[in-house]
Amino acid sequence: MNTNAHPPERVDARYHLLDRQILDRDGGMVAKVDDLELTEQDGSLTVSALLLGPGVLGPRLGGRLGAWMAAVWRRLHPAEDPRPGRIDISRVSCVDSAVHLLDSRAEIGIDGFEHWAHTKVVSRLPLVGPGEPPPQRPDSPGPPAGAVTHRASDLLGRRVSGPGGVPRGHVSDLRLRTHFVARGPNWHTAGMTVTDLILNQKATATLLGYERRNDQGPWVLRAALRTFRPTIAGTIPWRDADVDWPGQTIAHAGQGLDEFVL
Amino acid sequence: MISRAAAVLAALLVLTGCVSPALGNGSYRGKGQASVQAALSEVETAALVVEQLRRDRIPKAYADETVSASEQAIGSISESFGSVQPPPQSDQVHDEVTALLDDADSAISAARIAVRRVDRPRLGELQEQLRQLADRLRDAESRLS
Amino acid sequence: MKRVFALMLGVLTAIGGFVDIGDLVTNAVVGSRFGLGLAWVLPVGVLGICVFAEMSGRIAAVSGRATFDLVRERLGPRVGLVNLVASMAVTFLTFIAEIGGISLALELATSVNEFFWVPVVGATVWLVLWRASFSLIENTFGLLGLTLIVFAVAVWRLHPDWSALVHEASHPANTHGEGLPTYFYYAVALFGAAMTPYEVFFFSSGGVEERWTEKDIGTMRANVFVGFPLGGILSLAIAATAALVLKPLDISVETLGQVGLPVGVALGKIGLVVVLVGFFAATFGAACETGLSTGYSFAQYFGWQWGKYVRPRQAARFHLVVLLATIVAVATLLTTVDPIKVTEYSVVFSALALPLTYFPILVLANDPDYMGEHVNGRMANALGTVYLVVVVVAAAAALPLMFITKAGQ
Repeated sequence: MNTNAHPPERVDARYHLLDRQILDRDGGMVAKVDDLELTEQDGSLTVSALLLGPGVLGPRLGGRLGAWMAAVWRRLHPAEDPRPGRIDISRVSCVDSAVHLLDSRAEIGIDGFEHWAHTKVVSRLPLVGPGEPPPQRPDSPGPPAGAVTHRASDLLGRRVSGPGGVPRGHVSDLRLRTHFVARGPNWHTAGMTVTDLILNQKATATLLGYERRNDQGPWVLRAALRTFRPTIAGTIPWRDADVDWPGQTIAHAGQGLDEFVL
Repeated sequence: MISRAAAVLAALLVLTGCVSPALGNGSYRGKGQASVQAALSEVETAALVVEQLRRDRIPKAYADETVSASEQAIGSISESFGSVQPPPQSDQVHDEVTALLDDADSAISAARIAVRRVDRPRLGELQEQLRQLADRLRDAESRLS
Repeated sequence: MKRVFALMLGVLTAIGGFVDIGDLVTNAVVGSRFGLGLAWVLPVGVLGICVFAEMSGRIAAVSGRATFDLVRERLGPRVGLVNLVASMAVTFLTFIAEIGGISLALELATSVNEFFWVPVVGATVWLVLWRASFSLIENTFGLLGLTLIVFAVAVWRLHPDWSALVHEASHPANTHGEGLPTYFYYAVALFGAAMTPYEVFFFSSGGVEERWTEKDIGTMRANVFVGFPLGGILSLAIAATAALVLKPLDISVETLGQVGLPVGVALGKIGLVVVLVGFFAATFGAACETGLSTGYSFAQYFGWQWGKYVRPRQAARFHLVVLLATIVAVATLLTTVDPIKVTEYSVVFSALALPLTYFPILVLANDPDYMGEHVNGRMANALGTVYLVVVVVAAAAALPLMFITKAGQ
């Protein structure tokens, strides 16, 4: 009954998901993937939600500007201790050049700032035409009680050392495996699990793609960038990684790195 | 790092924008030449507009606005040259350029008045006058360079 | 038949929409000071904008994503934000210049002072961006902008010595009595005027507005590779009229009125009336494009709903940005800043900001994950690489030349 081949199982969190546009069922723009919520469960790490808004984008920006962005958001947010916007991974239908959701904008609700701009400004302008704002997105309930969660940005850039403190590189991306379920003729995302950590020699890995592929053009640019940026060092399986969450490091129990494959 | 670069940039912009004291005789001469050159552009613009209006080849509003803009421009050229303290031994440059700029200013003002009135005989006279003035400005410019 | 009509319409609006206040002013200034001695920059700039627009248009058609979606994805949120702020500063400067340009055109037409027009124009531009449909904006001002062909007619009517013109254009070594830094400063300005970043923000976002798919790539290419060069010929004609009429009189262009004067000399009153329509259409169209580009780019970076294809109520933050941009632009112009001066700076800063968006677009157009079979071919990459060098050199030279020449004095 399922006619289409399902999309690639292998997705890289930073390269394919972070900062990507989120679209609703009808193609309406919802937000950017500002960060990913990761949940620890029985030794495995799964992507449990997309995180949205200045509250998570600020920390990723870092520096004074990032702190300021998060502080302004906290200040303007009506809630006492606001949580970042959160879309459960089970609501994602597929990922291509955008992250597509199963719900419509009306079901998801709109951002608080969008709601403010609508009610305080746009709806008061002349010739606006009839209509009501879509409902505001309810405050995020946060992850299920008792769940141990982290953010994808907590792992990116961390130093990884092997036995005896041998440096292995820095985490440049998280390799995910997508689980699909069939709904009618289409495949839908049922969940995503972290399978490997992709390591790069430098903490500031690029997203340009030249570190991933040998054949991405134009060759002048490839040659130039490769002299500055070492290629991906390799990967280590998630199960061999021992993350010191409050600290800054990851210990790798295995011997050497696995080869990076696209 | 970005904020430091921005500060340096701002400082450079301020410096290059504001500092224009003419110090030596040479640079005063240069300033005089530049002012004459700028005045020439405005006088020729006015002459061209006057000629076109006389021959009824330009809408009146367009002519008026263009000549008025030239009048404003010549005013600020005059003012900016006049505000520079001439160094000693440069009085001749000062007197010659000032006289030329004053003539340009009054000729363009007269042109603006005639353009607004569409006073054709007067436009004819002014066209001739502006062309002669332009020749004097060209002369002065080549002498000053 | 309908397809042919759509193709024609696209090409015509690309021609008419090519020229904006930056092209009008910079070409006339350069023509009046250097004759056709800098004409070689135009084909360089026009081919550059073709290469840049084709890549971003293709990405938009294949992926449905526009410029600042890609900038943030490929450069990350931090560098992406710096890029957004810099690119929007330049686009906003251009927006101010366009609104000023409309007001100056109206002043020339009516003799009513520019400062009376500025708020009126601001309100009208906003109203158009608020309520008019995307295709209405694009087609109306694109087609009206074709009236600038009057500059080409004027060149012909001035009966120039064609061989002398060609000789001048083909001997760029002659700096026409100006210093070499000034010559290159205006080369950068002319390049920035032809290859303004907002054109690409608008073009790629417009592709999303019009829901391009892979099937539209052919049409998009026709618009770019036929429309833009023909639009570039209008720019050349503006420079040529100034070179033929104003340069011999030692007039160096400093007002919009002077830009049109040669057409009056060639074609009389009717010619100037057509010129005024052309000025108005070109600047109004570009004001809409820059105003929308500001909203598009912020929304794309933050992931907000944007676009004219949805009702205003559905894109509240996008319309809020457009409204604020218009208000601040009007307020800036009311400080009596000279729109022509703003224009002259905006084209140079355009050249400065160009690599910020050119680079990520070139990278993404090569990304098979994104583009599949539509990645850059050998030709697109050869040109893309050459222009990467050109764009970086122009950007690196822009500020030093500005300081050395005191902005071209």
